[in-house]
Amino acid sequence: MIRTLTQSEWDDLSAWIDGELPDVRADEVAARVADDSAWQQAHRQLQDLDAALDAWEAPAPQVDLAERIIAEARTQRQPAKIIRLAIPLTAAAAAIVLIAVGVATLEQTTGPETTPDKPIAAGPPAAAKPPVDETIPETFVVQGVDVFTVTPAPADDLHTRADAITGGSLCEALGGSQSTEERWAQLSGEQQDNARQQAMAFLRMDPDEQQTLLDDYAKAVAEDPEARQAWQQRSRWLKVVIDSFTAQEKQALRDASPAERARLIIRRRQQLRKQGDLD
Amino acid sequence: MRLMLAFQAGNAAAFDRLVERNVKTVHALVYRFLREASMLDDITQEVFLRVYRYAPRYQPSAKFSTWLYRITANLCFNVMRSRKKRRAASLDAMGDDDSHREVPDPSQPSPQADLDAEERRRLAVEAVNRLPENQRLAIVLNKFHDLSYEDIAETMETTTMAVKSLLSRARANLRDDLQRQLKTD
Repeated sequence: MIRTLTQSEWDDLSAWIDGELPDVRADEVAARVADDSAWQQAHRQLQDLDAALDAWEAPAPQVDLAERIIAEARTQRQPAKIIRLAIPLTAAAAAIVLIAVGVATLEQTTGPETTPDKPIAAGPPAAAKPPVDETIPETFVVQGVDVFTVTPAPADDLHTRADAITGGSLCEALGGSQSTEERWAQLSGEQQDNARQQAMAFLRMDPDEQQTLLDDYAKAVAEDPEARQAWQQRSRWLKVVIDSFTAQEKQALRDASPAERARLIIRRRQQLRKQGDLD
Repeated sequence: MRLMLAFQAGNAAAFDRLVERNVKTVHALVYRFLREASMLDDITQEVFLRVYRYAPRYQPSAKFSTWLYRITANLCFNVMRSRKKRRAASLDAMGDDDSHREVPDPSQPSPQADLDAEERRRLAVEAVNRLPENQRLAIVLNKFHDLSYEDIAETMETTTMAVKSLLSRARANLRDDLQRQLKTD
């Protein structure tokens, strides 16, 4: 009497037939199939099954089906054109939101002129701080997006922009003329979560990476005069602020939590404004 | 992927070529997965209209083929759910008429021990149609579309380990189903 393979053996035999086992295990299975009658019987069963299904033909589509589909598609509204840039737009969009979140958060919670300027502490970071970013209210993100969204809107209505955000970038989704807050309110919960995640992912990056992304984004939008001008206006302060940090201060930024990092950037902006070094 | 990116960038002709290149593949997947011959062309058309509408969502980090398969599979799942609801409503109205259950067609010849190739094919196809939906999709993608476990996992939004298990269980079910049919003869 030939024994039946165990579930695990059957799983491996099935994967072996598909060429999906790691080499070492594949060799072991091959040896079993060569020597063991239980494995040989199971292998024959799978081969018979495979042979029976080989003959299962699918009918060919009607010759004009492709033509009809294309004609029907022509009657649909043209989807939004996506402008792909040389850098990941999602990351670039996050870059824009990043600071925006920080700005909005701090200006909401402290007001722009009420927080005393403090020097950035150098040295090792304090104990790990709890990840506060996921709890940032969406209104803060909205305010930030209003300030920093720069990509020209390729879409012709909110619906299409909202589509874009699920697989594209925040900029593509929110780059229109309608009030950003209204547009944000019309996004689905999933889309809003996606936008927040983009912002949070950026906040967790190393400041040098953030700056590189911002620079790359600036280069990317440089191909479009309007986008370039908008970007320059909106990002100039950030570049000035970042450039004002010493290497030691940048290290402190790097070690800070995202929320603290944003706070430090905003404080420095206020400081530079007071000094007249920034408009 | 190149055609899809071109279409995203506004090249309408790229969509035409996408359809022409993939219509046979989508048509075959719908046929084997859904077995809904009367709606085959309509469902195939709807897949490509979704590609058209969802184009802004496509990210080049994913293979276009697996994205297309996913759209097709999701649409087929929707159709199957609707079909089940209709069937349930119909059975309620008719008092659970046995003639509407998925059983082998009695007009077809009975399975024989010495089945010829055509008979084996028919029994195997019937067995595939009785598989749970996710096992059926996995076996169709694996057997007829030559997708790797990784690509099947991406299409079905699951893991490669889950795909390995799905295919193994599908094959065990097919084997057992065929053996049962032979014994009942």
